[in-house]
Amino acid sequence: MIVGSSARVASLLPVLSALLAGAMFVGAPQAFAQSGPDLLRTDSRTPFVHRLTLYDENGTAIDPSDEPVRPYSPRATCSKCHDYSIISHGLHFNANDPAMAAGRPGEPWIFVDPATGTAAPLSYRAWPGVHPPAALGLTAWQFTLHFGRHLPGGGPGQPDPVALRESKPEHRWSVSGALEIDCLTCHAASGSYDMSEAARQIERQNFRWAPTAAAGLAVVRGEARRLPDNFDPDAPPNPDRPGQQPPKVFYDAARFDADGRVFFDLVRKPPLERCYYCHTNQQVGQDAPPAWHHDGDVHIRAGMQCSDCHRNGIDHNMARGFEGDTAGHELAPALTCVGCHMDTGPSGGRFGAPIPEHYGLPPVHFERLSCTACHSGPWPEMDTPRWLTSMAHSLGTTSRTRGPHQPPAIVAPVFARSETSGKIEPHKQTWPAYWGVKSGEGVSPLPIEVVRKAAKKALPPVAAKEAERDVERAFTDEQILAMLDALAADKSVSGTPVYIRYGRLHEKLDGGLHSSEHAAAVPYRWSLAHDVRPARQALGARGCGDCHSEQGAIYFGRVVVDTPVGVAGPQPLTMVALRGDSERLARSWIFPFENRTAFKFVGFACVMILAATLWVHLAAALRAWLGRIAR
Amino acid sequence: MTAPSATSATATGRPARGAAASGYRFCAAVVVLCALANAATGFGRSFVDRESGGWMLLAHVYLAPLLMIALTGLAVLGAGRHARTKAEGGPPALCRFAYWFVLVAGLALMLAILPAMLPFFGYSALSLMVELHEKAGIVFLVAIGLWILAGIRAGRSTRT
Repeated sequence: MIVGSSARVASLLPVLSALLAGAMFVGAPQAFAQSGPDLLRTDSRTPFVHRLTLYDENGTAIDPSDEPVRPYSPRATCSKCHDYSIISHGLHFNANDPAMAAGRPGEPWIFVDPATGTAAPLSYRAWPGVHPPAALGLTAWQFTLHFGRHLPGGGPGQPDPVALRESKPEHRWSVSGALEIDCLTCHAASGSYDMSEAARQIERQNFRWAPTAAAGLAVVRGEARRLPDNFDPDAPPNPDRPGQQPPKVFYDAARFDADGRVFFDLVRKPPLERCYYCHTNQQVGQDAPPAWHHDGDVHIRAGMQCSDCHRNGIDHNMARGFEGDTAGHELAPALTCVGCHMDTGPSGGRFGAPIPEHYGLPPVHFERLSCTACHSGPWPEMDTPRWLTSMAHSLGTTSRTRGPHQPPAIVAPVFARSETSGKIEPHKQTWPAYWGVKSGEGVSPLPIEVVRKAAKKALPPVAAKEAERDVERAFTDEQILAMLDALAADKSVSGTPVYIRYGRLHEKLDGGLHSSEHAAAVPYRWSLAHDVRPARQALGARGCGDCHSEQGAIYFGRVVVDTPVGVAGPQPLTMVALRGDSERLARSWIFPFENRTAFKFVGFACVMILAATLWVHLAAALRAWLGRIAR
Repeated sequence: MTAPSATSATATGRPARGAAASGYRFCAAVVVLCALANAATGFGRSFVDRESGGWMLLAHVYLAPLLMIALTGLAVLGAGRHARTKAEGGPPALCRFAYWFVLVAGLALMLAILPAMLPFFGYSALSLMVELHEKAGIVFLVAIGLWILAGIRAGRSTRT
């Protein structure tokens, strides 16, 4: 294990400070590219006790009695022993790194603006169906402000020095500071680490203060959002503007020992409660079971942690756990369902994973379905329910108004074909909704500020209560037409304004509203793999009728296309229709499965008659032959 | 298509008559037609079907019981006649061989896949059964081909 001996570090402090003073710059991970041999290690399985000197973002050791005192910097503190520059390229931090492969589509960030009927899936990764945040006019700083509540730091929250130099004062990086990778987001063992406190600090634009407040090391008072764009945090207090003060840090003196060090209760393998902050999914709606009805994932019940399968080295390049994951490491293929549960190699049977026999299940199922199709997610019902997720609905942060109909609408499980494997898998799905421009065959979203400006002219104001409840708006044809006219009148808009919603593209043609199918309007889906149900609760455990019947949700489950906007009816689509398969074919399969027992009886009766006939004549022939020999 | 065994039954020059003979001819025709259709849907589906359990597999599944029943009828109605030598009033040797070959291959074909419908076999065993079913299918096709050939030859010799 790599460790930091604070005593040795303290003795090296003057040298380190000199070296780091020039290099430590907000968002300069390269400055911490340390070579392995320089790092202290214990190489033991015993967890290292992290009793650490805190450093601020300039690399200066923090004395809690200083006035004013700065927040601690996870980058400056943890990088003494852990290579921050390598870690910062890990899966959770590299979305905005153009050098990284996009990988299999995952959960997007969904930018929701109820007033304009916008719910646009965004990602810095080039997944088909998502848009880069810049397309909606979101700068990295705005993106961090909006979604930082569920970011572990780094990535867009910590722009590189070039981006920082080019950033304008209104981007406010100098005021808010960077949102550095907060190692405690995942590695805190203590339940006192408070991600929702980090979210509150980020909402106040206190990016550089968030890790300190979340760790409970200090109370942070003040809000960077009240400071002007050109505020200089390093300048002395302005006597003309006494109210313009950066947030103040009040360290908990009891957390510091006599040498000014702080004990951090950390673990190498993140406990699942930490993962859940960003990766919780909650089924909602009338038929949703209450939380205490959930059994949880069978692996978790067996004593495993998320990080047992979703592993990574110091590069934090985490195995995503699906077959064909090429972005991970050499161990990635073994950290899949097949890797553990099939007897395919040395990794088979790890953790005591049972090798499933799948008695009586025709092998064609393994060619056409992923393991998750039968084993993952809730038991599929005919009406596909809505879900709230941490990333989309801010689960983990406190709210009195969060409800089942809060946008964006996410439904699951939707049984669609995987883009990568071609197998049918359960997915979460959301229908994109945004105002955009059509140029040629493509549609790109319009900057949200342009849309809001047009909405002020064309749409009635949102009632305060409605806005508070974040309710999705349904527009009439006239309202959509008025918005399209307002957007067309905007000189900054080049191209034909369109509105994407409910799986269709809406545009003004011949003075009326015309809606049509379009590639930009297809739902965005990402794979659902958890919670995994045990074998006896898998699809098919109760018989073929789990799928091959009128109640087979994998074929005939209904997926609602949100609510209508006047031009599209609320006709739910079946899973087969969503997959583009033949519903008639799917229904034709029901008959043979309903009569499977009769088929078996007939089949075995035929076999017995045929075998008996052959036996009788074979025996007669044998007797005749033996008789001839005897004669 | 002429049902070959119906022709073979005339190899002695005395055309088969009665309900049993008609039933036998009908079964023979169904066996040949279903065998060819199931070969096309079985071996051809990997080239045609895109969907999970597509139309080809569906047709294969719907035709399979017909083939099984017809083959059983063929056995029940034709075994006695095909147990006799030509001298005893039975069909020529090639016809008799082809007939029994068809029955044995058909039985193997059914035995290779029917147990897969029971919840006693796992993935490896089921994969093996599918493989055996495919191989048995090829052998069955050869048997059917030989049976047709024998029928045609017997028919020609009867005419001459």
